[in-house]
Amino acid sequence: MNPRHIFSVFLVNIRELARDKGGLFFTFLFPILLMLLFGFIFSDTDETVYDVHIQDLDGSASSMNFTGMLGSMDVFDVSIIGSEESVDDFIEKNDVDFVVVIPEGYERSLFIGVMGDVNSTVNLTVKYDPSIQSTRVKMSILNSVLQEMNREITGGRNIVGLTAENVFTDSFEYIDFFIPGVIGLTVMTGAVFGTIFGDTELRKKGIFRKLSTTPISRGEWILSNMLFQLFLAALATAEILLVGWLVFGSVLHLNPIFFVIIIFEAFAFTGLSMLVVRFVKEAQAASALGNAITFPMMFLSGTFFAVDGMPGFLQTLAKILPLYYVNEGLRDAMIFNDTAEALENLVPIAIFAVVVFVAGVFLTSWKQD
Amino acid sequence: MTGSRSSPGIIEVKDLVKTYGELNAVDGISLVIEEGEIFAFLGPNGAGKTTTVEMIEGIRTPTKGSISIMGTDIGRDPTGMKKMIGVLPQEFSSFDKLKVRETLKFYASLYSRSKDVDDLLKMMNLEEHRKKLYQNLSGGLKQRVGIAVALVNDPKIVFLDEPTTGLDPQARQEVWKVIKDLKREGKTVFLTTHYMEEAQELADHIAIISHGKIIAEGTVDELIDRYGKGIKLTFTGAHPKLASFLADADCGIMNNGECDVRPGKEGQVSVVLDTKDQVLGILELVKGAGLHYRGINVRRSNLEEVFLTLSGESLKSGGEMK
Repeated sequence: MNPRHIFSVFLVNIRELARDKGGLFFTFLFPILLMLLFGFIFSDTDETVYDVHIQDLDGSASSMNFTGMLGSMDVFDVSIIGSEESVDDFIEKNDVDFVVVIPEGYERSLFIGVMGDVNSTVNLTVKYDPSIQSTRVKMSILNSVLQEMNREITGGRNIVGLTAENVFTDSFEYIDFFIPGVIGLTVMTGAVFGTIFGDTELRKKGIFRKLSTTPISRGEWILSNMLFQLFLAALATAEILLVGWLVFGSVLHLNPIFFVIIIFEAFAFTGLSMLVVRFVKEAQAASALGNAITFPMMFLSGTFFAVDGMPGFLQTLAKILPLYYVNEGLRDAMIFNDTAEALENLVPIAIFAVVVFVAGVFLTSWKQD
Repeated sequence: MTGSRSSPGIIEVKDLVKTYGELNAVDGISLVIEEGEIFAFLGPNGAGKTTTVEMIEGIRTPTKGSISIMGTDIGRDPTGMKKMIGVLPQEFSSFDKLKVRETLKFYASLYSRSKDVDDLLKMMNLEEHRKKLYQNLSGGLKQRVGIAVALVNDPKIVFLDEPTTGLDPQARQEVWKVIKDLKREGKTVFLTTHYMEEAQELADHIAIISHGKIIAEGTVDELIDRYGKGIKLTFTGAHPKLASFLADADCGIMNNGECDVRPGKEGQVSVVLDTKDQVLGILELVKGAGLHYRGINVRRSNLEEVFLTLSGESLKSGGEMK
């Protein structure tokens, strides 16, 4: 391996891309447009019914009355957390973002207050995740409910108040789900179309034939192109994360496994494309082939929506697609910071990457028949 | 059929065969190319020229036969061989969005030893185009870039596969000049072409290939002497009796004692002869008879006629047989 050869090819790739408006658009602008489009469409949908969890530690007629009142409102869907459970554990286990805790002694304080003791007040504790937009809506609805209640009971004096506690849950919004998907998609399409178009065009133009008469080896050429694809993947990923943070306030974990998955993904799709492009001679067919690889994966591997929501047979199909494991692994790493789960998804993609990449290197040649 | 070539040559090809299924695309070719010469490999499209040259360049693997360059079998040291040769492949094209100078820099970086890129631009008359993108160049300029790329490693042997196909006459002349300069620099040029006039203009030695086999080989003069149709002497504006005079004349000075007289239109009369002496003899005869004419045209047989004689077919300008 001659580093000078690898650097030269890398430089050629950069120059070609920098002068190719279409290539620049699809590499850097398209993923952002996609993210903005899907982000705005799906992140800002108003929930018409908000989930609220209540833990009643008082167990009195008044506390049950309060729970019943919230439950009777169309805007809330109330679930009960048993009084023996730890609210914090429950939140962590169930990805719950808004819990109202009615404290012990609620009825007593309320009764004394109503009797005229101005010092008797009671505070409900609200544990919520402020990073999630909808919890702010829930909070303001609850506030107005309490105001109305105080007004009815005392004519305006506040007996029942709120204590808010921030709880950062691992619940996430659609945009957090979508960002790893858009990163996986961008790296895949970059590697597939970069390889297929590049290989078809260079073969058609006789550049491979020319290169095979020079000292550069095909291994050096492939490695350099791989590094270029990784470089683009890194730039595009950084760009997507930055825009996701600036526009949607999305903050994701940069777990090291995330980088490993991206590297294997780039190798996997470059290798796969090197293999299939052998059967293509014309640029038009190359485009069709690229779409044939990327389209089913884009829609079936959980890029835009969770695979869990698809019909059973499609879920089975998804599990044979490499991008599925990329998406799952990236989400494990970036959303949940769950290294163990991410590693489980990394294994199939890594095996696939090694197999197709090695096959791609050994089964393709610059030599003519 | 390597004729009287002095061996060892800089390139030696022996009994080369390339088979695709039932088809022998190259069918037992042997060649010796001498150092410093322009060797033209001439033949119609599909004759096996490019397949042969690509086997010598190491792009294709032969079915049978041996190829050595400077005494070394090409399979033994492919990397070392690549440093000695420069190749302009058929229908060469380069990276569209690289500038001319960047293209040369890229190819130069692939060799441990290379020519100065700016010297090369100067030599190929490409200096004023150095900052143009490859995709914006004319066909002739693209071909000049291709030849420049073939020269970046200062090779001993330069392979040019159909270097002027698709070029206009002026661009073709420019490429020819470059090829002649290469010879002056002492390089060996292996030229593949279907243009007869190109081989005639440039080549020191020609091998004619048809259907995968070499059907004739030699210098231009040797080929024309051996397979040509002699010298054609044409009188224009000739006296009406000139044709019959020549037909009846004692043609002892001519080949086989026969006058091959071909009356043409508008007072044109042609006689086909073998030697210059015969031409002079005929002119004396006509002068002696007092038959006047306006002018004469003496044309030697060319490679086109050689090819026609050898294959019974002639070549269209696109390289197809007709």
